[in-house]
Amino acid sequence: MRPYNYLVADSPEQAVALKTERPDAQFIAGGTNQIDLMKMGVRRPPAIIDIADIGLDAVEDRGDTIRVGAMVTNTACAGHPLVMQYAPAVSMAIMKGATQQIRNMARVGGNLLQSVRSVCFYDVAQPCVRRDGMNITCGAVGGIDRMNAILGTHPKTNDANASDMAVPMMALGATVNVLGPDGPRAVPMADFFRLPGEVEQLQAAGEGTGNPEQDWYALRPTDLITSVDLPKTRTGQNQSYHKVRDRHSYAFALISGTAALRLVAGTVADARVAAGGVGTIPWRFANIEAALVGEPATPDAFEAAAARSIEGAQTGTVNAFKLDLLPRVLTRALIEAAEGTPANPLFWEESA
Amino acid sequence: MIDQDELKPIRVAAHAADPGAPEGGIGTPLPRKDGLLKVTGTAIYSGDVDLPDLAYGYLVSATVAGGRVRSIDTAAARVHPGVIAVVTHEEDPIRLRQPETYEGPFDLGGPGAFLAHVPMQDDRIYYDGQYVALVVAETFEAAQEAASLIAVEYEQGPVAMWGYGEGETQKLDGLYYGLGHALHRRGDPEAAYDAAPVKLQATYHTPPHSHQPIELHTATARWQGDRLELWDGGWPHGVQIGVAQMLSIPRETVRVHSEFIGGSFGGKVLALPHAALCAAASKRLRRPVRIQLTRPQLFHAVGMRSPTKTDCRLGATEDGRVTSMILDGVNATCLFQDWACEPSTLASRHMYANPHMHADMRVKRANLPSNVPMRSPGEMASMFVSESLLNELAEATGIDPVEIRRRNEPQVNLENDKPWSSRSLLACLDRGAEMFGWADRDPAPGSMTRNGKLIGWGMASATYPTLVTNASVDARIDADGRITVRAAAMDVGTGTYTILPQIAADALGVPVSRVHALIGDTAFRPAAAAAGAMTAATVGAGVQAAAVKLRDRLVTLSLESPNGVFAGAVVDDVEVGDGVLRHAPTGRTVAYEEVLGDIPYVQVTGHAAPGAQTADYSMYAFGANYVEVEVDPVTLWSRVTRVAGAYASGTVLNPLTARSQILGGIAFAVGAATTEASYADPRDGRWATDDFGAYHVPVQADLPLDVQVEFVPEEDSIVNSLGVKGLGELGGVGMPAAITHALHHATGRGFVRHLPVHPESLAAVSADGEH
Repeated sequence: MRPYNYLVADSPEQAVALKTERPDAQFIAGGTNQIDLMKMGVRRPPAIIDIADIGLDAVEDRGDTIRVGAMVTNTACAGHPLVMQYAPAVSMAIMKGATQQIRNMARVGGNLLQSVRSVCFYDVAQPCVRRDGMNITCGAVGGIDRMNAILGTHPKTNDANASDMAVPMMALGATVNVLGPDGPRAVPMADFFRLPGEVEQLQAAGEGTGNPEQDWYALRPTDLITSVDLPKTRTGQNQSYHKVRDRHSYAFALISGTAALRLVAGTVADARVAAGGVGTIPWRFANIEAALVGEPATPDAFEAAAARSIEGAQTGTVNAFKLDLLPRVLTRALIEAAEGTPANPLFWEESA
Repeated sequence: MIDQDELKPIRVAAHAADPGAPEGGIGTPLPRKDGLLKVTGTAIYSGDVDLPDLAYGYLVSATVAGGRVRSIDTAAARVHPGVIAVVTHEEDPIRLRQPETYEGPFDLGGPGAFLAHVPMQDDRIYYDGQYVALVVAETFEAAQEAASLIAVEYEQGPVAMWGYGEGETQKLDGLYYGLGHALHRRGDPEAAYDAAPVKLQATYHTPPHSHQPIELHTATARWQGDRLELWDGGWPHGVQIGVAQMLSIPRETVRVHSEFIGGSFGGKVLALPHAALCAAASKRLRRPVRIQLTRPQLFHAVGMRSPTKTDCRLGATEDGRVTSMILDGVNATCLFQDWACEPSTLASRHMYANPHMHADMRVKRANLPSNVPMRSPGEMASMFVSESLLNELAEATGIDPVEIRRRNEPQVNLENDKPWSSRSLLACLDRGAEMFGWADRDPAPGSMTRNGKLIGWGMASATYPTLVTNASVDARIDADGRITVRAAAMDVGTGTYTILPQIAADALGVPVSRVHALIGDTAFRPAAAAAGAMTAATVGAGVQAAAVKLRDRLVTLSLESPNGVFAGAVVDDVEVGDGVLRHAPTGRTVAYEEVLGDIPYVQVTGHAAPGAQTADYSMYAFGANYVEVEVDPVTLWSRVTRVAGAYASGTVLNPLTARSQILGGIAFAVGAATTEASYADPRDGRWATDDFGAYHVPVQADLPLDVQVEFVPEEDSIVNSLGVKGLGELGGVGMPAAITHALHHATGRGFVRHLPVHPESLAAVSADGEH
């Protein structure tokens, strides 16, 4: 047995206080990722702080935004009427991830922090920049990188962010609300995930947290994610999440694409486009969005815009196929968004 | 075949009251007799055995795929709370005999069946995940944690990769365990190819696969004096022999239990080193020990289906008659074993009527785990090759793919010029086409659409040899009327517990509820392994022989014993059936158990062996697969949406379990075709896919909801007394080729020749099929 301390918080403030006392502790809520990693010896926290019952489990309408509490389960988030109305791509993305059992346990806050699906992260015999810091090179670089990123890569790592949920959140311009010892603050999701180069700089400058994994997020060790704010973007009628993977359920994205469109008389007035499985962070495509605005909502226009998705892409050993597949998936996501959000974004006919 | 000498010439008449089949007999769709035990969790598997004072072993896996162990620091593990013992090749080593050759699971009289490499005997590492240390502790958790504290230093050695087309290959004399020749030639294939008006060239690839049954391999060992009792979940007598050999003890001193087995796919047929390590640790520690492997260890250390590459040339006439096939296959194998267990040239040797043939199989040695049989070994790869070639020929000649098979139907097996014991391929093709609606297919690629998706229809034949071996089975009736049939057979989840009583019930004329099978224990007579679809045909024939003999013994007893119920009567006057003996002249009936009198039970042994005529025939089951796929025209991602299959495998003992076997085979084939593959890092040979998050077994969403399965009636009196051809391997064989055929038809893109078909595969394939 590997003993560890089990601490229970009953409020967000107490969770932060406990974490301040025990900075070597790790939070646990649904545990769907944390428990796996502890069983495999990837993470060996001397203490865990159970935050499953600290509240923060509501979805609220706050006028221009929807606030999703960090302890809302993935299932509850996906099925909430406000989310389905204003951010149905989030519902769809959640429903395409994991299994019903896992979604019932997993929380929104933890999902934002879910670990990479890198061979070397899970295999403690291999070097991993997430576990060991950016002073070494990830074992997957030059190896089997089929699941790895082509955007936002770095010579030392091309691990892809593994979240489905975060992809449409990134596209919609969500904000992550955080509580620390100094009080609450808001982090735009665009700043929440750090690129490898940013992490490398931070750690080289001695400004890391001392826990290399922690440095990949704009979070201090004493911070608790309290909620995510989803803006009401007026794209709720035209959102999509299209996930291509190595099997049709219960698999991480090879590539997933999300699109949120506001269409006016068949013309794109607003476009938000992002992809999973291709970026070291959930990857939003400002270039595609800019190219689409003012264009007719047609497959040809979508295809032409989606072709820009691979600008700046860097392929690895075996993932060059993503250069071909990424534009295809984004084209499909845009077509589906233009066709309209499914009547039921929890259960809909998946294309192929 | 039933040994005819064993049967006394007693006339057997059906009971006059009801000449029909007994309740639950052969052909009845009987639900599994062990189903209740399984769904209520009361079936005891090898990891469930509750023994007092049980200790738990945990194996440490190497983190290099080749090289040497430089040092192992076990200090921290030894002092970890709960740890009882730590074993390495240097510290308190367990010396096991290293088998010199790998022996096959088909010969009951042979020397055993085990992996050809026994780890922890020296410092050499041959494959990723090879065991380097064993920790035994009071709990599994303590053993696991202590194992993680063991620090191993390696000297990384050169690693030979199995990658396609690189490095030296090696000539082979035999396939599998020497069961077949690696080279088959007939006619003048090169000249015939050169002269052929239609020529095809293609190279097909299949990836490494891992068995991955739900039940992790688990051994539980207990000694009483010099006698070992082992719960293993494997092939009882194969494990007995293999473990006894590794331990250098007489096999008679080893009793193996495997009453319940949670899946095998061929992976539970071999005696594995962890079982011998478990037994040796138990002996040393003088207490029971259990070793349960981890899921990653099932990817590393228990053998696998190795990858293949097959270079093919096919010559044909313009009307689609194949004149020549030239196939050169390579099957990767480990560093310590020669056999090709996935011969990708095998099925093409007998499937069609081409008079000229070259089929050769070589191996490439690599730092891989043992190359062992996995479900439909050889047929998986070789039917992908054979059926893809026929489909590509159909495309090249513009002839319907079903018709092209009809035009290439052989009258005899041209591989050995023997007649077929029965061959119903054309009947299967016709029935399958009818079930599927093949006549509605527009042959033009890319022509069929539905809801914005491209639709493709493809097909392929299926085949599997009918393998027969010896079987001896005891049949017994107790004074309370309970009837049992006993043999050390395996039920890997396929229904052995159900079909054996059905066969006995038929022979004895009793309801199946009165008959129970006792299997999975070396206390019973040796029986075939659940491999090569042999159980139903061989053990089943043994059960039939034993049951007939028991019935006749009861008649004899009734007539000849001093207190016999029909003492003094003549044999011709006694009729048997419905669980009773009837004296025809008087109409007096007595129940079977009443015949026993004071005897507590009557037990007889029936023997089945391949009949003499089996050597004169080619014995195969056949089938036909029809598949529909749907392809997104934008992403080119696909799914299988519909399957219809017709199969001819002789007598169908139980349509329910038979259908389940076929459905399982179809699911297995969808996995082989579209999701499953192991990948290793090309730099160091270490697996990158050793968990279920990375090695994708198919899930429900990958499988079509619309699956039709039918059995085409077929009588075959040659194969065995029951007319049974094994069907455990038949379902899904050939289906990967049907799927790639359908993808071609849906899109007009070239045939995908690399399995599995990943989401990007169709986009990557050019019109001529090259990647």
